[in-house]
Amino acid sequence: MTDAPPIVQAKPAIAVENLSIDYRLRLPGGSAGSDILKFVTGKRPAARMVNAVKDVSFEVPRGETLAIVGRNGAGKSTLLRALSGALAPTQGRVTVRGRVSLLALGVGMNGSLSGRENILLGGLAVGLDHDRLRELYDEIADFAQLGEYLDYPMNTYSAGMRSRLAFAVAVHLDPEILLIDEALGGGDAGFAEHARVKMAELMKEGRTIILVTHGLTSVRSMATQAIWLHQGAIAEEGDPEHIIAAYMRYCRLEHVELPDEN
Amino acid sequence: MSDTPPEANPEAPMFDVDGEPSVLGVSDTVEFTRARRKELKAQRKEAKRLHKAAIYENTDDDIVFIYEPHVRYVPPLRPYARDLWTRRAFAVELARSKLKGKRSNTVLGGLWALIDPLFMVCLYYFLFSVLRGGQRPSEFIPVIISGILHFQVSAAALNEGGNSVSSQSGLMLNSTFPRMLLPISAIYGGFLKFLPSIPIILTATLVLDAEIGVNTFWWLALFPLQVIIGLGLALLISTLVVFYADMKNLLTYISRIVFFTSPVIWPADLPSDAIISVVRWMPFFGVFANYQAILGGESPDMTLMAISVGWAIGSVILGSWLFLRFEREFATKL
Repeated sequence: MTDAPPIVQAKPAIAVENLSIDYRLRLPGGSAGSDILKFVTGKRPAARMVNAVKDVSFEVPRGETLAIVGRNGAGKSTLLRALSGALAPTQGRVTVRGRVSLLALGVGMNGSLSGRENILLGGLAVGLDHDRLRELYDEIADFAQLGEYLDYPMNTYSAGMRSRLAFAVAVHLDPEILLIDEALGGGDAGFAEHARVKMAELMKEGRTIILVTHGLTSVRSMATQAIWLHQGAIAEEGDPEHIIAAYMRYCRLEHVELPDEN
Repeated sequence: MSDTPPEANPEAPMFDVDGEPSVLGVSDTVEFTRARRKELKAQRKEAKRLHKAAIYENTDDDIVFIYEPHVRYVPPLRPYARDLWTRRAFAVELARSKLKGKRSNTVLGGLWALIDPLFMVCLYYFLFSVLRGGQRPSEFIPVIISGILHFQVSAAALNEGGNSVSSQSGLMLNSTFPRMLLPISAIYGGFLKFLPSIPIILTATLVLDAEIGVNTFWWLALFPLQVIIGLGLALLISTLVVFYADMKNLLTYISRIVFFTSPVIWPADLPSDAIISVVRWMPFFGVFANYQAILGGESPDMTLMAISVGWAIGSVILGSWLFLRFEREFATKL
């Protein structure tokens, strides 16, 4: 990182310009009779759509940690998927400088395969080769601390065990940019601490992190900036303390004292 | 609910009077009108113009990804092909693990690789004997065996290949590999399923005195043709399935139609000329008719060969074009 030319350094790791994402929605069909009638009479319900993300712009400088908060359905996960390139924008542009790893719990993992095979498949999907994966495998196994369960199918895992594995995989794929979708809370207390230490390490190494979470304490302890997303648009952005306060006021939780994480 | 973000002030109403939460964070749905469709089309056009301008802008040697509205254009083929090649291990591993996953909870496990084809052979042998009125159709047994076992590859292409994209929505939402790996992986899976059948076919042909000679080597051309046609159809169908879920229902019939209209379980010269003149245009007719020919020690029919080559080239070009053009929209539709 140090020998990179200054002009590259100055460019943000992530730049989002006027990003909008629409989803088309279809209502589930009714009975065969009513559907046939609707089809014949041409009275099919019009397709509907939802603007999941609306004209969102922001930048994340290299090495910063951005937290995104907001209520369920506010567009946080959609936004992350657009940053990872999995979802194409409807409008606007996303520029990402660096390799991205997206961590969303359990998504993309196959329950009938063992943890070991899922690690392999996940790694290959992001473009690592077999040799590199072999090197990483032991590190991941050590970190996840799943012991012999790594060789059992993932549908025998508890939710917490799954989240351990997902977290271990995501942080070990050596991402320059790490997108975390509500995935810090899955493990038990011991693992949470383990994960916190690892996150601190990644932050120290200058990785860029985007964190979607409902855990406002982790926003406070980790984020260097924050965004509050509401109905797909940025309701407020800025300093994490300010966003936490505004969001809690909106949720009518201003009287609640956040526990200190340490 | 309004579209404007709420003010971060204490008066913002969060709960209704009766204490029910009044808002999710999600916005209301709106009707997808014709005007909106038009607007989207115009945006896409503009995006395409901007995109062309942007491609040459990037000269940093840093890794930079730029994501823009799904422009419906075929991406530059050479980098795409290179990307496919470097990620081939993923397609291989996905196919292998899918097969393994399917057998993971079974008692017989890997043995199913052999049991599956043997069961199929027995079933159709029985059917054929009944149809032939109890006569032993011995001279036709190797043909049935080879036909049914080879058809596994076509069936995988149509069924697994056709659903390859729609069944992997989880993977697609979370990683950004070139999507063409999915249908390719499905075809490879079909090939893996076919592998244990090769010794069965060989044994049957040896034991039952099928002709083995120079013409047998035509298999080396016929089998790749079958695989390529399968790939073309898989690309085509998997794209359609993403956009029209109805296609998934149709698929079961399509694969059956293809099965029964190809000379898999009947001799290629059995039907009348009138019927042949129609069904010979089916995608796999030529390949299977020629499998029969080389088993009988004859050289393949070159007209049918030409039709098969036509199918292979046509379906792969059309299929890849359609697939590549729409692949960036897949994730939004699933």
